[in-house]
Amino acid sequence: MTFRRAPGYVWRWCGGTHVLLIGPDGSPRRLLGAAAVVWSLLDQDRTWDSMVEALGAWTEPDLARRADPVARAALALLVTDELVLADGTS
Amino acid sequence: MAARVVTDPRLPSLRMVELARYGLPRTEAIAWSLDAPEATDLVTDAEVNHLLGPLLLAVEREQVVMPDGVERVLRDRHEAAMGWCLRIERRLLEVRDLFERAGGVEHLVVKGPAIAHLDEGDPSLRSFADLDLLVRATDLDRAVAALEADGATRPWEERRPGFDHRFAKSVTLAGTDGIEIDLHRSLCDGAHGFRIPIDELFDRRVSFSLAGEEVATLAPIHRCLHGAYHAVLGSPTPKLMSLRDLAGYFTRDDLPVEEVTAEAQRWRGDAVLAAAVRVTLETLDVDAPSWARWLAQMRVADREQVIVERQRAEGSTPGRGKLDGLAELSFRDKAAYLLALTVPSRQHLRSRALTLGAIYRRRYWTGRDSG
Repeated sequence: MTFRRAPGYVWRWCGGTHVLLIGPDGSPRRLLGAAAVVWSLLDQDRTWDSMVEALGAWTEPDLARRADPVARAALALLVTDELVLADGTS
Repeated sequence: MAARVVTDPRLPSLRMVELARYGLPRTEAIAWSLDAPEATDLVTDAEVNHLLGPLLLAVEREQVVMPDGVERVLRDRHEAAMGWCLRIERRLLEVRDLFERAGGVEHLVVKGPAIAHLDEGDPSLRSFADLDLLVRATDLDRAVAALEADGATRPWEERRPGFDHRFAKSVTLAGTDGIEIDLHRSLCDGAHGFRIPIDELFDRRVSFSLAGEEVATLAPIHRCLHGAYHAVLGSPTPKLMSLRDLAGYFTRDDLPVEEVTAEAQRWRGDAVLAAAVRVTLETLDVDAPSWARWLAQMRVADREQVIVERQRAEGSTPGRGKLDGLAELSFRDKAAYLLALTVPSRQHLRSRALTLGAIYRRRYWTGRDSG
């Protein structure tokens, strides 16, 4: 399965692990920590493995150590919020 | 790179200069450890100069160290600046829908969002204040009507009927959300505005991805030339952010000097490009040897130099620089352009709270008072 950002969201990195985004409804929201990292990694369709690998290379030591579970939690959060689309292909 | 001592208070501070070139190729790292008053001044200056992004990046890399309280202010201000940019980008997506519903208005995004997404290492390094769209002259009136139907208003009336799509650099409209949209017919005012082959800008367009959509913009070589025109012809003193844009183009390996200068010659704008290269190298002192060599051998005709200097002094204010545009027009267009410049319509004057007498008392045609 691959993952990508939901369309219609404009976003910016705001330092550290902080992403600001505005969706189609026009209201701004913040992503912090691993959720922000996962979001910023989705610049192309990502498989789960490639995302974990990329997240593992993240320079923030704490995140890197906990890459897999943190990414899992972050992705779950993003999917729950319908910010990330999974296209269902494997 | 030679050290520069800045003593003239009109010049940007050395720290702002270093920030303006921060992160560009072949520039040295910075290492500043600041106390609270110094850091506060720096954040304020960076905000005024639209350089909060490079400053935050330097803080993230621990090349600038400042007290926690000031760093929090920096992060808040950067987030606010980015929030405004995102609102503009959302507005861009809405305008695209509006144009589609109006039967399709071909357009290219110019300046802010395009530079942020295509020319900076990360979009968060480049902020912008408004939305600039280039449309074909034949579509301009329809584009204005579509935005007005959506509630946008123009601050003043057209100079004379038909002036916008025949001669104007751009039409400015403000939306109900306070976001300003400049609909450009050309990339600059005056003679050079009439020399640019606008259709070719559309023919060679490229795109960037925004919220899952592909948005059309100028090709890199045209973004570089537009940056030069904007920096040199837009105002007497270019903004540091505009010079950063140019320094980015002049230090890129994929924009050969020969290709950019050849295109500038085709636009008969090599005097503008030379002025842009000079002010960028002198102010930011970036390492761009091939551009420095080109500048050293470049000879600008006196007449062209005068045109650049007049336009530069005037910016968008009517004056002698605008009259230089006459030489680029057909006989019929000359008459209409001259009439519009010298005798604006009553509606236009009223919307600007001006009278013909007031205009001529300002004597801007003589160049003695730019008003």
